[in-house]
Amino acid sequence: MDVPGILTRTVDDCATILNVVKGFDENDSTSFEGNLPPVQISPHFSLKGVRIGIPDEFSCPGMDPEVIQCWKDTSDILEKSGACVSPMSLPHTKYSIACYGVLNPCEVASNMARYDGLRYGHRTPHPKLNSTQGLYAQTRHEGFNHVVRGRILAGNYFLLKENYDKYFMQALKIRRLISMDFEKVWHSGFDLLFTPVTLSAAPTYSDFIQLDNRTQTSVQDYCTQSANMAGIPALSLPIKLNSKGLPLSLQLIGPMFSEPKLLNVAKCIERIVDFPQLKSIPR
Amino acid sequence: MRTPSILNKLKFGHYLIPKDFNLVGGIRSFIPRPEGWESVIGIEVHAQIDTNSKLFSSSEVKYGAPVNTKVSLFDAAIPGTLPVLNRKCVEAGILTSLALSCQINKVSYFDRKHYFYADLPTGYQITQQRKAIAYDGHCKFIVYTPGFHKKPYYSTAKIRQIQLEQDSGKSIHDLNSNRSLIDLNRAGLPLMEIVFEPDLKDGEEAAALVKELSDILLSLGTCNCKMEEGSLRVDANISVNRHGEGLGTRTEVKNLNSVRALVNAIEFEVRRQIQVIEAGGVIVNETRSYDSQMKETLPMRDKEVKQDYRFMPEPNLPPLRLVDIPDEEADSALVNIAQVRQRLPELPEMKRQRLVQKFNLNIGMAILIMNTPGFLTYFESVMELLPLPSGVRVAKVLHKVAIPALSEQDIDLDSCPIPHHVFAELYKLVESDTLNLVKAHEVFILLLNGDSRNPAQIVTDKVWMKVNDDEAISTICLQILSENSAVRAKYKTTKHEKHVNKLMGAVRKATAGKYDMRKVDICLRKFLQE
Repeated sequence: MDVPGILTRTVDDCATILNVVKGFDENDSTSFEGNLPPVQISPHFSLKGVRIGIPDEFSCPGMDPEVIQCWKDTSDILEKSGACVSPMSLPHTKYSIACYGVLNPCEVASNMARYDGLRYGHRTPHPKLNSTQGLYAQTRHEGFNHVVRGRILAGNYFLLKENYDKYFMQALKIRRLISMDFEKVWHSGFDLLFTPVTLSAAPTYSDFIQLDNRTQTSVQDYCTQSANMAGIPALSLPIKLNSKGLPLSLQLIGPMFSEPKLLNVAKCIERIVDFPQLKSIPR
Repeated sequence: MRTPSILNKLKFGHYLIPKDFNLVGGIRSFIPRPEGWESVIGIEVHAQIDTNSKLFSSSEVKYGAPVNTKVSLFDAAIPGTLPVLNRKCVEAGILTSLALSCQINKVSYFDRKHYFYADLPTGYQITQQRKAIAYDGHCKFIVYTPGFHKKPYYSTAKIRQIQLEQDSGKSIHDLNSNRSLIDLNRAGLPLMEIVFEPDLKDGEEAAALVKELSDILLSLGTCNCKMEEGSLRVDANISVNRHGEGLGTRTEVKNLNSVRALVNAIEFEVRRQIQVIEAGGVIVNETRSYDSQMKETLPMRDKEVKQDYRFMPEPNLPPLRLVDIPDEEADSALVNIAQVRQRLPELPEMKRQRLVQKFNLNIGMAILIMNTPGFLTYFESVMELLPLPSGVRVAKVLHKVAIPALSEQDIDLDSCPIPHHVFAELYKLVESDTLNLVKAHEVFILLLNGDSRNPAQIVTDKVWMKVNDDEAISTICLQILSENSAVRAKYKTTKHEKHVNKLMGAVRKATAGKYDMRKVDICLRKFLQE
């Protein structure tokens, strides 16, 4: 789960960055060693015949009607442009949040264990207790905010010997089911999936903090979790402004190594919807 | 399904048991226990793999390097760094597992074992808990402490598993300034952890097992086995029970950095546990350390509460996949067990068997030869110049003449300056009854000090030939007896051996040790009877 994401203003820029960072890295034991030709955005790429799936489960409770409408309208546009658009199902979507809710804190608890203030980073200037453990505890309490601390505690709880099978192993099994949902979809002939990416336009800060972080993320992350759990590529791009003038985006998900198709389809969508990009503001 | 290590048996033959062997060693410990008690010991050995770089980073492995000079970004747990497995460590692990008759897992995994300590930068150790590289092996070893055991005996300790894992750094606690000093040179060094089943009965067996294991690892070249440098560390799990009862609660003793500490710690702990139970107490499953000054085990403060290490699969390392393809054109990207198997050298037990079979030695002498530095090579070189049947006697002469003379000058047989053919000449003089061992020793010392004459020449020049002549012997015996009439009288009354020894000593002194002392002995006794 500790992987980089690419954030750019255009699909072309995204492809450029991807071409720089992708491929084999001898210092990363999990990086792919095979041949990956550079992704090329082709002006001749056609949406004709591209089979796009619309997962039923992604219109979830609490989703803004404007988002659902945007999703429908853009799907229609894709169909008119020649793509074969049809509904399908990813039955285990609703478990992906719970799955992430276990696996992520475990990774956080583990990956954050190195922040002890000894070799780098913050070290508490006034340790209350005169012991290494005391130094660690205070440094980490000061250096991590309550969100991180909460995840560390949850992660350590799930990894306890008596809890490991109940939570961690179980989450791994759920993750396998989520992954298999996608496998079935690709085998049944779909090239890509087209979904919302958020439940609404960006909320205000005051609205956002109404819920604690854990609950908030479990609500807001609904659309992005399953691709994350399955370890497959996904791309989101802005489509239109909503009635309040805030951007709405939608998401494409594809099988492993489908970045060329994802980016080319995204480029077509970008061209068609012509989202009003902010131009640089003249002085 | 586990496939038997048939290939191992075919290549190295079945272990042969020599005729003069006592196969006891199966039931009771040779160290006396209070009536009705027995002790059960299992050891865990951490052996540092002798590679140039660490297990997951390219830092150099170098004992004694200045502090914190062999620490890469990964070793210091700098964020953003990832582990990359060192192939040579995997090969060393496989080689060791094969030598210890283990089953190799073609797929094994790495896990994180979490705990906080200043010498563990990441807050976790990368180890193999779920599925290690090897399992189900055994180590056969000989138990024989001269002066303690009457005869050598064989025993076997089964191996539960062998896993690859990282070593931690070192911390030195500076109590005066109330701070701890951390050296990360050792952090990330490759270790093989060899986990043995509780098949040992006492400290001497544990010592013998560690000795055999060290010999094996040294012959493989996978570890330099220097306990004093920390490249071989042993923990002992110890429990006691009354005969017929099941295993008792065990304690674990850590921080044992010499074989003697291992033996003493085990023996102390066994006695302590028996005392506790006999006094009505209960043994707590705890970790203890060993104080080599006081020669006792003590509870380790930090380990009072049982640790939950929160094992988690290491997400940055894919499973370790191995192949076993005898064909040499196999894919070199994966480590090929078959290729590693070809590099297995002659292991110590095979060497001992070979010595016994080839030279008709008894196992005690074979053990002595292999345990004495330089003996084996020197002996084998000398035997190339002499007929095979003389092996037993050549070994005896080396043992009784060469070793004592060399050790006076603090050198081993592997630094012995006397060429093999010269020693062979010296041996021939002894065998032909021209020279006795006392004088052989003196010739050897002259040669050691640079005398360039050949042994026969020295003997002739110094007139050190053995005197076998019965008449000469008779004469000297009578002479000594007349000079020591008091001793003779004492013997007549007490019949005590020490008086004979005194007379023998007098003869030896008077004759500069040249006389055939066996004949002197017979002659003296004959006269004493009269």
